[in-house]
Amino acid sequence: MTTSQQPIVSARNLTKDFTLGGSLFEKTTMRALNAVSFDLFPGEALAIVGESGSGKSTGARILSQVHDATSGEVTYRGKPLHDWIRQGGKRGFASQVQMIFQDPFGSLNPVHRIFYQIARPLQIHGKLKDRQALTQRVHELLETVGLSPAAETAQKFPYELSGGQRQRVAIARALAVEPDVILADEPISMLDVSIRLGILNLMMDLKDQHGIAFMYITHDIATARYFAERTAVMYVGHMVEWGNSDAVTQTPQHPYTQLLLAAVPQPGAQKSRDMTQYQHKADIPMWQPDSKGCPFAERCPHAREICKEQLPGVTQIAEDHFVRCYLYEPDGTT
Amino acid sequence: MVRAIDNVNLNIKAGETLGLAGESGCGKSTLAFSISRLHKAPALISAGEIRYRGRDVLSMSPRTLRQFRWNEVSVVFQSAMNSLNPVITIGEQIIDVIQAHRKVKTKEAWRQGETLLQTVGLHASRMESFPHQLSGGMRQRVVIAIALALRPRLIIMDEPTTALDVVVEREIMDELYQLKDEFGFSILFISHDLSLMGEIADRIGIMYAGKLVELGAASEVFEQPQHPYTQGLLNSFPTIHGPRERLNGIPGQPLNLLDTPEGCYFQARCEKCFAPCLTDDPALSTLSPTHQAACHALAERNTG
Repeated sequence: MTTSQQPIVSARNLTKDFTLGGSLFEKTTMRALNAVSFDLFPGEALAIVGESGSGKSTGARILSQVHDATSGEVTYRGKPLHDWIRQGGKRGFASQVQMIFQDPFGSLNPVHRIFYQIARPLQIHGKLKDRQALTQRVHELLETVGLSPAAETAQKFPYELSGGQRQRVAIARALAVEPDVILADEPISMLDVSIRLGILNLMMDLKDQHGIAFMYITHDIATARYFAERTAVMYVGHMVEWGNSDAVTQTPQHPYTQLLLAAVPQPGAQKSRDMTQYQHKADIPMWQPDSKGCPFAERCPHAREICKEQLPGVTQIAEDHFVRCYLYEPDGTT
Repeated sequence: MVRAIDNVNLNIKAGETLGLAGESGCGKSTLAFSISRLHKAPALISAGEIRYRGRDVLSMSPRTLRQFRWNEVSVVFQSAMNSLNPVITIGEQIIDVIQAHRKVKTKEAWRQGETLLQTVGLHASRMESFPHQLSGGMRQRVVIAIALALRPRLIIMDEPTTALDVVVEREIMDELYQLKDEFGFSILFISHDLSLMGEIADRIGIMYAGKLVELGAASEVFEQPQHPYTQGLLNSFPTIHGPRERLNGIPGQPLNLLDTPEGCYFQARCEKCFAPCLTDDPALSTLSPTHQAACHALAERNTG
């Protein structure tokens, strides 16, 4: 695929700790991300799949500089993120990496017309000053995201649009500054089922025609396979399996990926799948800096002593398919 | 005024799971509320009737209604996770339901509550917990336990697992089916997730803009969907297996009920739209003893 290309974003050993409540002397630290590494290539989508609390959004928030990483490094076009920010400021960086959020009802300012929402980033980033060019560009962006007639839509307020149309406005706003990377955090999960596909197809066109790299964060592994070339499965702050989307979804290796895929409803498969081998009610653990072993060990039907002691290393299954599990380590047989 | 449900006819048989699917605003929750008369003013049922085992629900006195609710029909709400009172324990909330309907001593009700929690796979000691001490999935189990408390014959579930992760959803659905086998209740299952519905429902009804557009056995609706809206919905879910190809979903936007057209409500988004669709509201036509759909294109095919 595009592996010969240089990655546009790379993360290496990204770790993020959050300090949780407790008293002055007794604070708990939660590790939301633990040694996560991934690459994002131009014109390609990487899906990050996981349940709530798996840390899938934290990675995107570090890339967009909402959070700072506790340790590890992110490079953009081969240069560390901090260098970019020192040179161009956060704003300069933001014109290259944009976000789309889950809730289109919360992410647009309700008191401004659609024109304003899209013109704002153009003005802030100093892309266009002249009013006529601005209007033209806003209309152009609205057409790109399929909101025509653009002149009419531009004069509307957010409340006059449906959820799907609002999400299209949010995408147009992200596109306004001509970013190279778009981080889409559950962009379709709050939309009606009949319009979800329209948004996914729009993002697919942007990816293919404009060469924008997408990081697609989702809990829905079926849409991950539909939209993204590569998929990474996360569990409790760890990337447990990643690679080519078809490889990950068709030949899942990690027991957690297998569980996740078995849980996806499939019409016709009548209520009979055997899920009892997984430790059902075992709570999803909270990862702390001093936790050890594999995060899935408590629920895993194949867990052995070593799984509770040490985090498994990375094993390459195929050319673009990796897993973190002792089952596949060459010397870890039986 | 908005007509949220328009001339919908449905039966639920004993021990059956009827799935009701559609987009937000299509009236599926309004229908659920109406069955147990939970709708509040300004909502009103302007025409029609609801019969439960031969009894007319709409004419019940407040007293009979109180007997009817929860004893016979219970509801698991959409945001079930948040429908628990945050400041009292799980136990108090369960015995409150039991004692409101049955004359039992607190000690006995508490014991029943413990058994209920165990039936839904929670430890009896959770009676002492407050809702915030439980995870989303556990809270959902508590709400199901409360719905089961009085052994109703019908449980209405309005998007019971939408807010949950897929693995937790699976666990809860599996448990629910074990309980259904054990107690033999009927379920009206409301969801937008057609895939889940295809797995659990015996029959499926599809609603669009307040109307029932298709109703049939789950296998019929999935394998031979007849209404263009159903076909579009089924073509909106990417699959895990099968070929990776571009799907098209349904063009356009959901209908605004404040601005409804003449004729079929789906006309603006329908590829098969032709002259009668713009003027006449299609009626349900029978396709098999169990399968009906409301579309002019079908009626046309049947008659000529």
